[in-house]
Amino acid sequence: MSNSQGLSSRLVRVFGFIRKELASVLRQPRLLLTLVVGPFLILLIFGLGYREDPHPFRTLLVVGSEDAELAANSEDMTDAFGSGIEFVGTTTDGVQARQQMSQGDIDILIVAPEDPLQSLRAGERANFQVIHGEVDPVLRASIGLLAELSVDEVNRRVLAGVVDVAQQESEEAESGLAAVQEGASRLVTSLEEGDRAAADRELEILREQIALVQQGSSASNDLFASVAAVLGAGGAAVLGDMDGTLDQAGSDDPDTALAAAREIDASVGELETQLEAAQGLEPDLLVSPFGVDVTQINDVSSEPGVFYSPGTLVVLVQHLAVTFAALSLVRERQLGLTNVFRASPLTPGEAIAGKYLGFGSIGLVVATALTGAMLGFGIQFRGSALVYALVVVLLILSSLGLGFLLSGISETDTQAVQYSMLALLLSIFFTGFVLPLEQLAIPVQVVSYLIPATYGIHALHDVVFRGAIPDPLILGGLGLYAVAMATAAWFVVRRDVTLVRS
Amino acid sequence: MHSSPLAVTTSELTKSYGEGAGVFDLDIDIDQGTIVGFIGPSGSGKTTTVHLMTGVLEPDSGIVEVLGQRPIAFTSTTRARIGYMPQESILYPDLTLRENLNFAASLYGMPFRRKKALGQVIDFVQLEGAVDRLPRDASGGEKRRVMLASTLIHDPDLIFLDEPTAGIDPVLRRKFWDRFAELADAGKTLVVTTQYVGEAAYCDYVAVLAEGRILTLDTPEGLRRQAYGGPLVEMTFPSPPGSDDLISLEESVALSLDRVDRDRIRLVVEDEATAMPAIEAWAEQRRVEVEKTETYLPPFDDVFVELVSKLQNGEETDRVQ
Repeated sequence: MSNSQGLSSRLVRVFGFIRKELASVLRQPRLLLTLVVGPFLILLIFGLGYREDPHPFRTLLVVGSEDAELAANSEDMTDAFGSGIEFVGTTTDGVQARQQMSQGDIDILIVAPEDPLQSLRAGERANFQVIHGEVDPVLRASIGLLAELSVDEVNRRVLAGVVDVAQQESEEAESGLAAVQEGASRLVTSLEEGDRAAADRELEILREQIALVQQGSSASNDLFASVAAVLGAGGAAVLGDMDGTLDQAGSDDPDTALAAAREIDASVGELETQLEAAQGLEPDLLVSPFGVDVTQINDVSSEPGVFYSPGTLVVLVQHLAVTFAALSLVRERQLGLTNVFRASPLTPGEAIAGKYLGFGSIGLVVATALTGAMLGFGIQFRGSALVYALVVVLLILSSLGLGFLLSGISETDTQAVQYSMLALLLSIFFTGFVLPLEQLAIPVQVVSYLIPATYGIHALHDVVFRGAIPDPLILGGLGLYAVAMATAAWFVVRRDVTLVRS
Repeated sequence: MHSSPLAVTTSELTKSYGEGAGVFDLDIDIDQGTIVGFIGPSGSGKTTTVHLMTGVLEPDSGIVEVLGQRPIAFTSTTRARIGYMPQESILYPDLTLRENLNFAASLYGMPFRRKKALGQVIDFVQLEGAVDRLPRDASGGEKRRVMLASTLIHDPDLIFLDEPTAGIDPVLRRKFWDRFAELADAGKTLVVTTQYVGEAAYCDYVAVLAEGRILTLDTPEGLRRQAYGGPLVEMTFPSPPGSDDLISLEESVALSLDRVDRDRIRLVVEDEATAMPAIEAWAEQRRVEVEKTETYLPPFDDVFVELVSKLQNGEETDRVQ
């Protein structure tokens, strides 16, 4: 047989497998429907039915009989808890409240501290008790978070009340501060004129006026000082820090005394300005001076349907390829075709090339259809179509290789399907499809990287959402995975196609 | 059996599966252009023998050469000269019979333009009208015919047929053997295994297998001789012959005599050609009226039972090479 005849025969055999695999799959429309449309519909219904906002917990507040004010304010306070809590009312009957909970009428009981002031006086926190019967760990975590947020909100409101009082006090102090300002000006004038006796008198009056104002404005003054310290804005004048300067203003050295007097004058002016500013601010703003603005550097929609689309494509294409590949070899083995192959001129390379190309074509058609569906849902591609295609091709090759490998350890088609389903389950939990990969412990992440979908999802997120070339480690990893699986598949097919050794 | 070049030769070929299963010390030479039948009960080693010869299995020991090569080192060219029909009808359930046949053709590297060859082989196995059915809609006979067509599609020189007629009706079985004879006439070598002992009559040579060993290898006629000790002649009388007459007949003409019923006997003779005149002379001499004297060909089922019984009892047989 000449080389060209040999090559031609090889191509004929490869093409024979391609045609056979395509015809086999197309003759089983139900299998295609089960493998592609079934999971797709399940995920679609899940995506459409999934609510980003959790179902609110029905919450009842239990207060002591003397906590009328807390009871009155509770409804208003629960507004601040957000949609996570549905406030159903307030009661003073703790026993009945627990009964309601055990009957399933409410989800959470919040029991207010019996005597918060007494606890505070004793130097202890007054704790709200949050009682629930939830068993779902995710919902339990949500309740814990909601409880923390709720207590923060209560504390913030208490603090806002304190600030409100401080603001009122500062208004009273403001008139005293005007007198201090005038006194400081007179002190400067006396020192400038060299009238030492008058200056000493003014200094004495100033000390008394400052002490009076200090008593009235300490809270707001300290608050401003704290904010200034956090912000790094140094130099804020605080009356409490003026004792040293006042002493210097009484110095025998006229220059030192004058400089100190001018400093006092300027500081008091500054404090007056601060007080005016503080009076104009909302108490809420003062107790929560810092907010947060989150900026996304791309305009990817936050809709879950959008985010999960590439992952859905990856998982479905992988599942299809793994199942077809695993079933194909097992069925041939079960039918007894392996002996026909062994007696024929077929080589493992020809068989595997034909199967890769046959099933790969089907995988590409399905991936193209799913990509079309993604575009139809309005998902915008930011990256290169070529890189996207490369990722999909590598994903299909890797998945087919995994399927062939699974067929090597399957004795029946039932086992092959079971292994394929295990691969699907692994893909849902371990690949970053549902949970971020980073939430898995490092040793468990090793399992993740044994599944092609892990690479595929990571790479498609980069291409589709970020418009970036995927991390070379991910893309290279997927390529290496495909090569490793093809090698393993070659060994599996060789066992089925060549002579059975003793 | 060496009149032409050898298609297959084995020497002390052994493949054991343990507990007595397998084939042991197989020695056989198969000439090109002959039909060699392997006959034996289930589990006698027929399929293993075919697997060893087609390169599906590696022997434990001994030598097997097929078309001048050891199967372990078959080249693609050699494999393309061999056709193998497995015991079961192995067809892809989702492909039509024609597509299954087409796939078999591609396995042997037949060119893409093979419509004519496909048509010819479909005609040869008389499968027209059924080829576009799926296997589930085809009869057992149609499936076997597709399997035969798949074996012959690439026009192999050496054809291994593992129980090709198993499970099909007698009419189709006869047709299959007619096709095998045509192939042998065209110079092809056929190695056929069968459980139907009667099919031994269609072979040029028959190897009788039991418990993994060749009990004997001979022509069909040779097997009959081995089974009964010589050719059989059946005599029918208008009235029951006397005991003295029969004793006289046995002593003068036959090696042995068996009374089938009151007026019919069978003789084992040395040679049919000399036995017939001797019988006529005996009848004349003894004045015994004979209605009919003819050569009797016993069914191969009877031959097989007789032969296996003899061989397993340790009686010597002639082995014809």
